[in-house]
Amino acid sequence: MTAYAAAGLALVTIGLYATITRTNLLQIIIGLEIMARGISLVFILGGAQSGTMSAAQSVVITLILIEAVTVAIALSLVVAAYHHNKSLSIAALRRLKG
Amino acid sequence: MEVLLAIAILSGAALLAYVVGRLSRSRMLTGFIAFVAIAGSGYMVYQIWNVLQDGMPLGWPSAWAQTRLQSYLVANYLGIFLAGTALLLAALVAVYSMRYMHRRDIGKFYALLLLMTSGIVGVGFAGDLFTLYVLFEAMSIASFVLVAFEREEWEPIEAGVKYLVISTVGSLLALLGISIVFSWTGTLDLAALPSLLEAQVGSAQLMAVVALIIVGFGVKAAIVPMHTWLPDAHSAAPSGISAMLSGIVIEAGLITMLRALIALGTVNYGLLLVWLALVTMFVGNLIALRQSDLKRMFAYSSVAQMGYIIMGVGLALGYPTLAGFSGMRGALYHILNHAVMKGGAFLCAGAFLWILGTRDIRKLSGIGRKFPLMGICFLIFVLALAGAPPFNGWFSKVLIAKAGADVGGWGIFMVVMLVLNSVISLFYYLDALNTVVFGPIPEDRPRTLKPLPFLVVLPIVALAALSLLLGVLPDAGLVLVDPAAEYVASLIGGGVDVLVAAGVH
Amino acid sequence: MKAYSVLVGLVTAILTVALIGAAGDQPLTAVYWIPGIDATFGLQLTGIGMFVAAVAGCIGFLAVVYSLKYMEDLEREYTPTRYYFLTILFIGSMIALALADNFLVLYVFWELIGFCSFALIAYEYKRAKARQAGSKAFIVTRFGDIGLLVGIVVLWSAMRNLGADQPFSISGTISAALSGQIPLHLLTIAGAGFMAGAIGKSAQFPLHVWLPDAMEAPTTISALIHAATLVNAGIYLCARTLPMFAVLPWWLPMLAWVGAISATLTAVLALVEKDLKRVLAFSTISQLGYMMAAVGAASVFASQFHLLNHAIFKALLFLCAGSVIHATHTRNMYEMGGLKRFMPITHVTFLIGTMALAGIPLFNGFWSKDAVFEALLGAGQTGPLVLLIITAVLTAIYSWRMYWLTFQAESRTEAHPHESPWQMTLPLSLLGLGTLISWLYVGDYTSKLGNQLPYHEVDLLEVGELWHHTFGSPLIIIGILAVAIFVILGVVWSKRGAPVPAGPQMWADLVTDTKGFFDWFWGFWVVLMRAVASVLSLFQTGDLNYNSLWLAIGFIAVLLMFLGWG
Repeated sequence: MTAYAAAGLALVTIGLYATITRTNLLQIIIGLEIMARGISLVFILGGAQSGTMSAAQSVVITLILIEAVTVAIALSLVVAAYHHNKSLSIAALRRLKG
Repeated sequence: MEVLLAIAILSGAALLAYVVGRLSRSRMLTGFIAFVAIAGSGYMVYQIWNVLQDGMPLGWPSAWAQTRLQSYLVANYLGIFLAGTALLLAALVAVYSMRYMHRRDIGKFYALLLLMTSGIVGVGFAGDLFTLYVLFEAMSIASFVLVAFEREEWEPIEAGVKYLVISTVGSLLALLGISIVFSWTGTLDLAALPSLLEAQVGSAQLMAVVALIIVGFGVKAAIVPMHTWLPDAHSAAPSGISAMLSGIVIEAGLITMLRALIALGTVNYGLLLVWLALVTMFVGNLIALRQSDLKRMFAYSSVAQMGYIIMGVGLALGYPTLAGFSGMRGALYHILNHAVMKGGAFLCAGAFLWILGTRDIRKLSGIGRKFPLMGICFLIFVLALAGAPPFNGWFSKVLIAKAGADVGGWGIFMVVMLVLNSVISLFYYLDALNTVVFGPIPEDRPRTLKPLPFLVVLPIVALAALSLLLGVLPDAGLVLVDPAAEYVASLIGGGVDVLVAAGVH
Repeated sequence: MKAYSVLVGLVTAILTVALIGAAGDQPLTAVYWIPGIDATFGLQLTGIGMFVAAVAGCIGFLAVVYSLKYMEDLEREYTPTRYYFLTILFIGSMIALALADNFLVLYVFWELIGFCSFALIAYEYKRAKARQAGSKAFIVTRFGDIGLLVGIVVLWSAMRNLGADQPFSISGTISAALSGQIPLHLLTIAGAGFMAGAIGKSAQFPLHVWLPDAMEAPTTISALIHAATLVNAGIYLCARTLPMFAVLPWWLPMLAWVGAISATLTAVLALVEKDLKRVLAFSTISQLGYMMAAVGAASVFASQFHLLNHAIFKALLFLCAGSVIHATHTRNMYEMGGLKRFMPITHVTFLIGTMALAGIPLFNGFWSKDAVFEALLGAGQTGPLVLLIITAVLTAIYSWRMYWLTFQAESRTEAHPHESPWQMTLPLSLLGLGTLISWLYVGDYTSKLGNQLPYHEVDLLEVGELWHHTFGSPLIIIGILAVAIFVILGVVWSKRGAPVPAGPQMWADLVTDTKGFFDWFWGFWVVLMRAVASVLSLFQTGDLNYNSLWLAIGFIAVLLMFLGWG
């Protein structure tokens, strides 16, 4: 059990690390997805631990749905950003500051 | 049933608005549908209010009562307060956008606006942490698209990408906290959690969870240093959406956080929130001093105003017996006031943008002279934001200050800092006022400008009138605020004794 | 619209004067305003408040009448509706402030007169200087109001804990404080806060910087601000809450010192100022210093009597200055001179006002100024007393200089001055008459000053007693000194001419423009604030990675704070 929990937390950390260090928009979005997967894992673990697997399942399915919507919107924004900047790097998205 | 309907009417109408907008391309018709849906939802909220007032259980038909929906959504006064404020602002924004938005994909706009509103209405009523999260995300996702709605421009896209990434990271962190709580207790019911978590009080794990919740939902509530998305998103969004974002979305984020925190029990995070609030108001006000973009200036001022609100919340949570009621009351009243005054300020900025096509304060110089009604409204909103009577901002600030005085000692120091901040904010508010309304009219501006449509003017004037009303007769707002504050105070352990001491009963 | 404004002004003036006579023992019934916090919208006819209200009503009315002609020039550029609307709101708010029976109502109107002064100082909004002066007045006074608001909520909280049903009531709070129910540390905070609020509003040292700049307002508004409304509010507040804070050992001496220092500092500045209106502005701060010091000597009578007399003669001086400026189109006294030939009525009334300001015996300023000295002597506040005596000498000098440069000697103006129309000279004559005779009213005045003020001590004084008191005291020497200064300066200057601007004027301008370098002091803090702001805005990098990093940092910071606090 502890190993699952550790794996879940590790995934979240890796995902967060990706959003902090990656400069490619797609990689950042992949980082977000990794975080979401880690959280799903913690939910499954929780369901198994407390014997409420059915609740955990519905939560995780809903979570996947939400993530799918978020990523779809994120990708559409990335496409739009690419149209404007001809680049996927976040270096091109630094005009709004101060 | 009523709660579900209040949310479902909006979501259902979102679909309808999209189809109608797509087929007819009529802004007026689509907007009208949205307005009716918001009014219908408002009627449902009013029904919930009536039922709660009578002290009777909500009228669930027996078939409904069998389902688990009943526990997912719980009627309460905090929800009524949030829903009422949100629907008020959303209705005015819907009217405003009928003429303000000049795009073909108007159906999408109104559908998303309704979806966002349904999310906001929902978070106040959510009965468990996951429902809270889902409704919160519904609100967030709709707002991502709305921020980046004008996708031909580079600015909304850049702001949208940043907003999406930061906000998603934040809500995932909060969700991580929720998942950890779930793995401990096997339930997410807000009412059941405090007693289940009692064993964990004081443990480092629970602190980590609370930290995740504060940081995660704090992104939406614009707590410094998680505020970085806000100035970009609020200034780049269409003005009606800026008004919604500043006026109610970030406050809904705070209320989401508040509900989650209350469920997690009695860690002393109130103190922490007060310090975060202090940093938030200073950072917001100081950076706002440097802005030349009107909407960006208002965005930073929203950060500062969130600082005032969070200070009230923090004092209430940190000292429930001393300031539980007075702090919540001040904070919630400020949310209502902020929806009115900042919503109005953004709509006003939008009207100027509509006329001149610029948000640069210097280029807007003297526009308030040319449109005196808009100038007066702008003056009202700006002075309300600065907390000058007789416009509405002053009363809630006094209430928050009272909470600090109730705490005493360093609470009074916090009050001094809060009032000092409203003096700092005067520097940029008066600068903007002196330029936008009283400044000289540039030589190169065309002599005849396009007139403002009636439907753009109407919501602004309505909000200005409301600002004056709430400033002159603050009791009008207390009707909505007090039950909600009492509800929260009873949840955080400011018991009936405290309410008696605060002079409620 | 103008006729309506005059009518409203007249009715207000009559009503406020009628209130003085009508004052009974019963407090006025109050309507519930904000039941949720037990706040009533209550008015109370206290002795102090009635007179402050009557001053606001009557002088306000005269200023409105005077505006009819004076503001005509500006009407082409700026809508007069806005002017009269704000003026009447200003007067009305001041009256409400003076009659308020609870702190919350007082606070609201306190802020409202702040807003009105901002809007009226910036009335000629096309001039950048006017806009800046308006903002400055608003910001500086609100800086002082930090204290007032904190004081009010602290007292509210304390009263709430006592279970009072009227937690904001001023007299209720005073009686609670006197019976020792309000903890001393809370009373200390409230006392300091109220003092800060009063210092800001009454333009006392070190927050005096806004008042001279407020001279950008139309002269009628200056008269209103200086004589009838805004600056009196601070003195009123201190006098009203005097019994409550007199419990604190430091409160009264501090007030006396603040008043004395303000008086002296600005009297020095008035000596070298060249702008007629700004001389008057400095003199206002100086005279308010006297009132503040009188409150510091725990003398309600001296402070309020001087407030009344000052309101009359300062309104007179301002309206005269308006008349002069109307005729010469300049505010620089070095470009005036010799106006006595062209403007006889203005000349005579201005001279009366000058003499009252300088404290020449028998003019109203003399009596109340002497009362201030007596009070300070009686209270044993020697330091402030000495400073104020020095100020009295300086006052006589700058008053005479102001009068001389404007009306005496040869004409240096390029305009063709002429006497002003009756709408302007009528208020002048009425105020001039008031300046001559208002002190005769002292018996009636003192008997009514104590109305509904159970915690204040007000001495009853008849005119005869006042006469004996004043002329029997060694302090009469100050009055004689003022006369001597007038005579000597008059003789010397009529032979050798008044001092002309030369090299040192540049330095004098520097000192007066910065109000004794205090603009630089406050400016430093503003610059510092802006510098901090620019450093902070560097953290808004706009880089997505940094934004995510801030989340992680926020999480770690929150966690560390938790662990640190346990």
